[in-house]
Amino acid sequence: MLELSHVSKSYDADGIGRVDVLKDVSLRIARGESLAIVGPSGSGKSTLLNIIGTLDQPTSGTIALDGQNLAALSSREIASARNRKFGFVFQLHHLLPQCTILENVLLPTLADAAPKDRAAARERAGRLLDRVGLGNRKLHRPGQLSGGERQRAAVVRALINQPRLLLADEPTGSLDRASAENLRGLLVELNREENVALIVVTHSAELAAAMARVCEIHDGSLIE
Amino acid sequence: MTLARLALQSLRFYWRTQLGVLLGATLAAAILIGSLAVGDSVRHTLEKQALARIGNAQFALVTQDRFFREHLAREIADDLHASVVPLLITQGTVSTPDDKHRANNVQVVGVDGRFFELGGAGTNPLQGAAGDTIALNERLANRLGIGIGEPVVVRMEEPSQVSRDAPLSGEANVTTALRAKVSAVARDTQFGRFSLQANQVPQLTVFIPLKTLQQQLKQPARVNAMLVGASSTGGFASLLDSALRKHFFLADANLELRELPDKTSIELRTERVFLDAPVANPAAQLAGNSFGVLTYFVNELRHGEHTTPYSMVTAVAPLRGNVAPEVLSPIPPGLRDDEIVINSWLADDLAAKAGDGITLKYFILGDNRRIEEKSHTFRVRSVVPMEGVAADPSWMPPFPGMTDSENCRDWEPGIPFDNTRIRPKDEEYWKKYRGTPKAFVSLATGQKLWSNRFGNLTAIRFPVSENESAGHRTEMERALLTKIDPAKLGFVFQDVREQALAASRQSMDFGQLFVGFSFFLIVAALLLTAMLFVFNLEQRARETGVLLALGFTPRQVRRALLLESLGIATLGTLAGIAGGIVYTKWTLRALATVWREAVGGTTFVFHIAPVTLCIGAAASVIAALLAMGLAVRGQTRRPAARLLAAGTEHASAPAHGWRAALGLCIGGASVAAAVAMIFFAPRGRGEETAETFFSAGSLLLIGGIAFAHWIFVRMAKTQRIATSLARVGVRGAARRRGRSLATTGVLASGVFMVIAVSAFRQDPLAGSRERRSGTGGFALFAQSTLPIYEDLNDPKTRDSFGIDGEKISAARVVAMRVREGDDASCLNLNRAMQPRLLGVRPDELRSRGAFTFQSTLDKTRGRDAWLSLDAPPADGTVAAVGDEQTVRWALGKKLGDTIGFTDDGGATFRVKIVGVLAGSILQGSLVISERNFIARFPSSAGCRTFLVDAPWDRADAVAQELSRALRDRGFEAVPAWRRLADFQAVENTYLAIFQALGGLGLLLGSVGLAIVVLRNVMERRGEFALMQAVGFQPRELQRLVLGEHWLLIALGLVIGVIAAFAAVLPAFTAPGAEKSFGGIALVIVALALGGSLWTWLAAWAALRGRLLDALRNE
Repeated sequence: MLELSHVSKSYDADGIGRVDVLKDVSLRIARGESLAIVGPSGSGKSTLLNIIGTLDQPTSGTIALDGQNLAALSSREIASARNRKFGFVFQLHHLLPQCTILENVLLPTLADAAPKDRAAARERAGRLLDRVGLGNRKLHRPGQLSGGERQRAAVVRALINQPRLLLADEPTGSLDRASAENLRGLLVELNREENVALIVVTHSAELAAAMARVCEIHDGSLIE
Repeated sequence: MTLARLALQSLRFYWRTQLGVLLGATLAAAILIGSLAVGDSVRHTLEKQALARIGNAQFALVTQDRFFREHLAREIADDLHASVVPLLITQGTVSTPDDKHRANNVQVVGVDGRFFELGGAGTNPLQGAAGDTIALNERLANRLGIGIGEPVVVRMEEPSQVSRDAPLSGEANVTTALRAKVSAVARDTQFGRFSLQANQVPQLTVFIPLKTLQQQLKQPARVNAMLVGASSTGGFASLLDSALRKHFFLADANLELRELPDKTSIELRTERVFLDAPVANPAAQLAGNSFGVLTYFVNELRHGEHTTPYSMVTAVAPLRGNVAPEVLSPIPPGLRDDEIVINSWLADDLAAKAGDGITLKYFILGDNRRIEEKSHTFRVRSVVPMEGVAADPSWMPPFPGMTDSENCRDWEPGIPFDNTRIRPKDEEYWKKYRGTPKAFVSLATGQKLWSNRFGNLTAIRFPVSENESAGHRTEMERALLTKIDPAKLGFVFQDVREQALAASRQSMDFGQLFVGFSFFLIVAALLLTAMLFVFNLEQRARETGVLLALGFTPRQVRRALLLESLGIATLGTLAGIAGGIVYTKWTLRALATVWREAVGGTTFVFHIAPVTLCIGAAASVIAALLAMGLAVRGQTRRPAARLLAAGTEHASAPAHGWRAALGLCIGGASVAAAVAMIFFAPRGRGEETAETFFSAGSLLLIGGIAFAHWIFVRMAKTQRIATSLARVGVRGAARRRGRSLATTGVLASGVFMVIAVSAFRQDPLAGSRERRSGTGGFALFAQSTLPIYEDLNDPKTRDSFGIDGEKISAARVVAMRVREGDDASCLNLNRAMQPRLLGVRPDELRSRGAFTFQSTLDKTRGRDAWLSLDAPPADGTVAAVGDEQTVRWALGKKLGDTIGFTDDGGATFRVKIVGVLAGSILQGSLVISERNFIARFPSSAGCRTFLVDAPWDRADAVAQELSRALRDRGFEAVPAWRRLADFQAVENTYLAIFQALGGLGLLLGSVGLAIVVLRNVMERRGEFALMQAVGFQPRELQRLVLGEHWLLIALGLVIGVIAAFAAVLPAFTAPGAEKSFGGIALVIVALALGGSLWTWLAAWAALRGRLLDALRNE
């Protein structure tokens, strides 16, 4: 489903010269598969995740999703792909504080969904929120939720458009242990239930162990 | 959930942080809407004043010095069932009996109850008043400081039907004084503002009962103006013209068609002595056998040793080639041009006979009534006996000062006259034969010798046969009236209502003016709006990142944020409307008090039109939206990953090398272009020069800001190790290049504006003695209420006026003719539709090199541009020169444009602006050559504006002496620099307004600076906490912050100062420029101190408290 071929990323830093963040990274991931990317800080994990999610561009190499080269897409098509095919979960939930939980979850549907699909999206949002135990918090604001609840809401937001690939960047990094465990279980279950591929960048050995595959990045190179 | 809902939610959620943005938008809207409302208020007030000065009048007919029957108004009124009011309008002076208080240039209006009725006064202030009581308008009463019941003396010129410039027009300078009591003060609501000239300052006016004034001016039942009330009848103007023609009598044109005593002919003659061309030409066509008459007064007829003084000589000939019958003319057939026929009385007196030579001496009148005696020798063709047509006294026209005299010695012909030369036999001749000519010459010769601009015939005679009926004269009169066009004699109804409304509608647009004045303030408010909005967006950068990460396109994100901006802009504008009203009222109050010189002390009434409100509101929303839109654009162009990482970075992204290079290129190119422009700019004080230098200054400003950008990029890229805290501070200025550049740019622009504007301030005394200055190097500027016909440089004239020749011996006067019109100076807020015209002899100014031409149509003429006033124009226009303020602002014209005028003959002609003078005392009028002036306005006599050259140390004495001696003419001389100062006070006040509002803009800009500093420091609290943790003292941290921002302030000041001085170099070096370096230095120091103060306050606020907590919070 997703294939990275010889992806590299480098940039010029003032006074330092050229810095290689990723070196010739190749990776394949199938539908419904789960993968953890681990490695020390600054090793390039988040950069790799951003490149996969089209939030960043590689210096060289190709990324193909379902055989389609993402580099060949226009900015509009990339935005659409990001909206339809990818779901993002960040270390910080990034929920909009001015919107309710339900509105936050429905936010992605505003970007690319036809108005007629919105009713279905709303129904799905309700179902997913019930599924993650936030059914009674739909109309609450993020500020009224705990950290774990916010992060679960962020996961639901990531899944609202039924993406093919869920990208999670340190999803448990800012949670306490109990919440982290809770979220870990949720991600694994949703990976299975929604048949969505899952790539997690994490420092957490528990979370990594819960994934089907684990890859490590070291000095910009990916080792499986 | 929709984007609109998201925007609304965001607006509600972030309302606290958006308050600052809202405040900025409100401020910008308030200033914009308020400025436009100032324009509305001024226009509205001027319109009200315009209607107050013309009352309910729609049309006006003013014939100046031509007096017509008062009854004509009644006849037209009855015919059209309209309100037609006869008026007698003249100029005069009004003083208290002890002459302690005096007002010159007073409009004297003879009125009756109909006038006040038309003016909608409700009551007639003169109702029931005795004949010797008058009413003053409020302004005149205030000027004289007198009230009801107090006596005043009104001095006017006794009008003459004959132009005072015409030869033999009688004694000039005949004034008449009316002593009367003030019975009322006519308020504005009582038509006290009556005036036909567009000016927001009411004329000084005295209202006198019509009959009293007619009696005083010896014009019984005559008037020289009519006002016609508004009518809803379609085509009323043409109905009015038809009615005028229908009721127009010869008497209205001062003509008389009379049967001669011998019944042989009917004669057309005029009280004006000379028949006007628009009368003479059609009259000549009336009958095939008419013949023309030109009778002239000669000083002497000489034959050898024999002389006869002061006699009439008549030139006569058929007008259409037929030989006049002997019974009608004493001229024999075939009289040659050098031959003369004399009567037997003269032949006896001179002992002359046929074939003898006779020399005639006579005066002709040059300019300024300058008398020249000429002579011409004829050969006597024949001697005619004193009988029949040769003894007809009616050949003599009604010469003022002569016709009605009992004795020759009492003659006052208006030319040098030595009555001691009158012999008893001359008196006997006068008693017996009155003005019977003593000699006759051919009309061709007579016209060659004596014709002038007022005409070349004194009568036209139409022979009648004995069997023609007695009603023939009436038939002729009717026929003649059908051929005379009253319009060509100045009987033209002007739509004064339309003119008044147009003058107020097209008045100086104060709305635009104040938008311009407040521009910097508005921009500062918008910058503040944009900056605060950027800060808010930066705080919400992650939110933007999330939206992008969720698949929103940047456009969608922009739309969502713009919807939010629209909400803020709309709310800001709604609040701004209320603020705008306050701003307008505050501005109107300032215009009535501290800025009163800009508007001549007019008090404006608050008014705002709904359409203006809508335009202002829409413009405010758009402006605020644009400001925030730019911020949104910048935010959504950043990559999502970077936005998501926001909060961890407090510096601009590293600049690409090409950006630094581009900045350097732009800076280098701008500076090079500016230097080239300054080097190659035309020298002088032309508009072109000023614009070139201003452009060069602006380029330097742009170049400076570009260099500042390059410096910031270089500083960011530097790899040199900062060896001191100060260097670290300086390096800090490069962290947020956008903010640093904005700070530097705003300061540089502010300094540029303040200095540039300061340089345009004028000092009327500076260089005022130079010919090229605004005074033209003249010591005095003088105006008289009544015309002065004589040459004030002539010692005889000075004697005749009782001027102490010693006191003014070195003074030379340049006299100018005046055709009254609208005051086209900056003191008049209305659009001058028909500006005042001055007629001058161009060489008088050219030879002195007076004044400086800012631009001329003929670039080759340079200082000789004055001479182009007399150059024959290729397109039939009349060349004119005008002051820059007059041409550009008061008239809304430019070089080469034309303005239409109506001449004395009712014909329209166009005046073309061929030269524009730099700010001068000639502001308010257009100057044309005297030759063209006389050709277009032959009936306008004498001069009323004077430029006086006098030794500088005696200028006051000269002014006092002239004003004293010519007080009866309402002569008032003031130092030329003071007149210039009055005009410059207006300009300087405008500059002061601009500076005040610009200063507020700078203040707002400095608030922005404080916010930037506060923001910069707050963002880096953790960093400062760390520095404190490693041993830096709080005071050192404060110095670090101050050093960083002082660099920005210093950079801004230096760029602004250099650019501004380049821009205003010509203005500084021009005569009259106020070289106030001290003031400018003060402003710069104040700006530097203000900026530093804000920086210090912001740094103190941000660094106070437990800084180390920031480490834990991070």
